[in-house]
Amino acid sequence: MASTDDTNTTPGTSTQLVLLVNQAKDGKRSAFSQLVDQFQADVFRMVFYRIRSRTDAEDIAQDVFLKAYQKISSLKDASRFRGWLFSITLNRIRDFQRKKRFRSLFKVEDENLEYQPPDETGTDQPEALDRVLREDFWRQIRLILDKLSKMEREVFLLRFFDHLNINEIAGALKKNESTIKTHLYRALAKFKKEPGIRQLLKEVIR
Amino acid sequence: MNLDNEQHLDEQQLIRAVVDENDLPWSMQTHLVSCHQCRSSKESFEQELAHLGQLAERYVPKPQKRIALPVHEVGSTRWTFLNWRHAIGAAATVAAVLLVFWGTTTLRNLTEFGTAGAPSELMEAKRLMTEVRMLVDNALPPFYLEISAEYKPDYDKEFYQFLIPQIENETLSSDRRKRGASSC
Repeated sequence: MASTDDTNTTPGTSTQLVLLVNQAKDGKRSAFSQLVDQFQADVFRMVFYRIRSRTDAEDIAQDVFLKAYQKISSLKDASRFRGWLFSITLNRIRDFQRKKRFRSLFKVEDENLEYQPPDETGTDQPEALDRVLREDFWRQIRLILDKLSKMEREVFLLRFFDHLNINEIAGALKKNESTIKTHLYRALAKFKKEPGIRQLLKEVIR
Repeated sequence: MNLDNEQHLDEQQLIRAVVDENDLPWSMQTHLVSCHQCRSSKESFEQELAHLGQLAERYVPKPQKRIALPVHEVGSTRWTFLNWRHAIGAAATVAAVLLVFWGTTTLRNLTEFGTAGAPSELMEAKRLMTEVRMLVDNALPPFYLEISAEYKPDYDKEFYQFLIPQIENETLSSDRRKRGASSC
């Protein structure tokens, strides 16, 4: 997984990744397959954090890689592959949410799907305590995210859930870095005022 | 230098330091490097946020489907079937637009001809044809028709015989001979 918490390093610029991207641009299918292996989990998680449905997240991730596969020849700078891929992912998520909102005009039961707690964690069911913790975690996250503006929420998720650095976030959202930082300050200030999630995190850290 | 006497970072500055340390004023940056209390507050907040990300990762299900890529090569995507299909689609759209434009123009022309030009021209043509037909039947002007035989179609052959009796050639010549003989 290519991710970082450090703003000053960019894992996407590693020479191996650049090599793979350039090979994929030249039409080498196996190189693109390696990129898929490397980023599938990241893309899937990124979608899941925003959609909260495993099947939808899988479908969207599939679309994202298909789009990336078709358009990789248009990527000018191979070192920006990660940001470019996440930008495609965000666009696909927006499309999905737009369609869902449109569908929800006709279907009342679709309304609250976005913030459903993720209870589909695969074939092996975790223990009851873990399940309770998980549900509590997502409930707390939902409470925080609801208090953030759209942009603050997106920046917060990209920085601390998707582990993009400021530069990558700016690229993915097509905004300048100072705008991203401003939204991030605001989001963090609101986060600091939330006792619930901080208590939960402290318990986990302990 | 006694660090405890210096001003510590407030909450806003701490957040700023978490986002990007370089955004702090220079004095605060140097303070952060040397102040254990501020540094630990910053690290504690960063740790919280890192754990937030880790927990979120832990509570996300694993994808069960593998990503399926199309069969054709990446580099050849520019002129694939898909793109040909797009090209054909675009051509069909252009053709449809031209057809609609041409159809509309033709229809408009026809409508204009039908509504404005046609009746007068048609009437003129009909009038001319009537005149031509009349001239074919009777080329004489109406005045002469009054005195011409053609104008009285009711008169039969006998009446014409009566008006202009048929003169036998021989009788006429013998009469002339007789008259000539007598005159001489």
